[in-house]
Amino acid sequence: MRMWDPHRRIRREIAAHFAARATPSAEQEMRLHLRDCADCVEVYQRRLLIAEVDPAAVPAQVRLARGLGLSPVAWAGRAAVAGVPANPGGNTTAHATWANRSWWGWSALAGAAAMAALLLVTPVRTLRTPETRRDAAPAFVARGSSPPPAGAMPELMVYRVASRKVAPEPAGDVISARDELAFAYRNSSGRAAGTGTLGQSTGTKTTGRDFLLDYLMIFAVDEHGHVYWYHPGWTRADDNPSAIPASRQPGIHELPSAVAHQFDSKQVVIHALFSDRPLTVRQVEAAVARPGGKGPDLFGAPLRLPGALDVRRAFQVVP
Amino acid sequence: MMPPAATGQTSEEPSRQGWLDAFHQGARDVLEGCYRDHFQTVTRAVGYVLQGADKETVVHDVFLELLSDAKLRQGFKGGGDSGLAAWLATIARYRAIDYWRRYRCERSAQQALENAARTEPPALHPGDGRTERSLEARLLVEQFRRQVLPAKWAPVFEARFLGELDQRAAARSLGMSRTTLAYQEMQVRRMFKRFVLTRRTT
Repeated sequence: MRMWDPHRRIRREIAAHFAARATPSAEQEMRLHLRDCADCVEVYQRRLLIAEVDPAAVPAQVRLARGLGLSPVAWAGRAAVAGVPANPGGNTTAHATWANRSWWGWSALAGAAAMAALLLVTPVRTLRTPETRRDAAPAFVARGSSPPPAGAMPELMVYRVASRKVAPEPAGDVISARDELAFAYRNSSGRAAGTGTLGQSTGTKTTGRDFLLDYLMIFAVDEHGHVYWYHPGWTRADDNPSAIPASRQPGIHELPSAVAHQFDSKQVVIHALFSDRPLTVRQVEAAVARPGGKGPDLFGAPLRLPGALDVRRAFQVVP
Repeated sequence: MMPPAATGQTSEEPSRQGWLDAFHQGARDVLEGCYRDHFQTVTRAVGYVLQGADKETVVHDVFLELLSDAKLRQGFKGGGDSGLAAWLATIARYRAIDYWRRYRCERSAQQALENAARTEPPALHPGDGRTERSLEARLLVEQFRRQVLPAKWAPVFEARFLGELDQRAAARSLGMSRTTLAYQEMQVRRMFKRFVLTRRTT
C-alpha cells in the first residue's frame, strides 16, 4: 500500500510555483509546509539556484504574484492595461522584469493560399491560464464590488514583448513584423445578447437569448487574407485545433504564451473571437476567406460566425 | 489620484482621500498597484533578515496579509507614496524578524537585529532587482560545465545562461538559426535542472 506522502505533493507545488502555475491555496499550503521542513526548503533553494542561472526562469515578482492570484497589472508595466488606474505615485522604476523567457511562435497557411509559413520556434515557458487553476477566484475580493452588467463587451489587451529585460508593454497602433505578442482578455459578463450582430446563421433575427462566451480564439489577418494563429496554436497542417476555454470570472485573464509571427504585410487586424462553442481554426479560416472577411474589407464588418462575438484591434506593421 | 499626504490641505485632497478609502476597502486595482510598485521595497526589507526560500515566503505572507486583512490596511493613515513604502517596509521587516525567531533561531537574536538595522540594501542587479549571482550559483555553473555539459552545447550555454543574450542575439552571434538555438537551449535546461535537483551535497 502506498503511503500518502505530503512531501511529494509539496515538491510538485514547488515546481508549479517556479513554473508560475501555482494556485493561491496550493501556494499557501506550500509556504506553511516550508516553515518546518528542511528537506523541502532544500528543494526550493535548488530551484532558486536554477532560476538564478536559467534565462527562461520566471522572475520572482511574477511567481509570487501568481501564487497570490494577482492579475498582470500587478507585475507588468505601469500602464500595462489600458483603463486600469495606476497606483498613485508609485515607483516608476519598480517594474517587474519579464526577463529570462523564451517563447513558441506559430503561423499557419490561410485557407488554400500557397503562402509559405515561417515557423519561429523557441522553447516555451508556459503559464497555466487562470481558468485551469483550481482556484480561479482571487484570494481577496474588493468590498462593495458588483459584477459587470450582462452584455458588457469582452475586451482584448495586446502586449509587445520587445526584450526579455523589460516588462511587456501594451501594443500601440504600430507593431514590428517580428514582435512577440502576448495577450490578456476580460470576459466579465461572459454573456452577449443574442442579436444578428453575432453572426446568427439565420440572419439578423433577434433571438432574445444570451450567449455564454466560453471559448476564445486569437488570430491575426493581414491585407492579403493570411491568417496567423496565436490561440489556439496551430503547428501541423493536418490538425484542426479548437478554441481555447475562456474564463467568465471577473478581472483580466492573461494567456500563457507570447507568440511571434513574421508578418509580410503592412497592416494586420488581431481578432479575439469569443464564442459559445468550440469553433475550429478551419471554420474561422473559411469565414475569413469569404467575401467581406479579408483583403479590402480588412477593417470592415466583424467576422460572422454562429454564437460568436468578434473583438478586433488593427495595427500597422513595420519591418 | 495620489495616496493622501500626512498634513496640509491641497487641491488633490478629495482624490487622495479617495485612493486611501479604496486602499482601506481592498480595491483590487489599488492593491495590485501596491504589489507592482512596492514589491522591491518589501523584498529588500525582508532580505535584511532572511534569504532564499524564507525570504520569498515572508514576502508572500506580507502581501497576502495586505490583500486579505482589512484591519492591517486600516493601519496605514496616509503619507504619500513614500509613506506607503516606509509603512510596508516596516511591516515586512517585523514579519521577517518574527519568522526568524519562530522558525530559524540558529543565530543569536542580536545578530538578527543587527542585520535588520543595516541601512545598506543587498546589491541589486541593475534593472531587474535580482541580487548578484550568488557564489553558490557560480560554483554550480562551473561544476555543470566541467562535469555534465556536452561540448557541442557549450556555446549555447555560454551565450544564453552566462552571457544573458536574448535568443535573437545569441543565434546571430553563434551563426545558427533561432530554431536550432532554441532546441539546444531546451536540452541544456533539462540537463541543468536534473543536475541541480539530483546532485548530492557534501
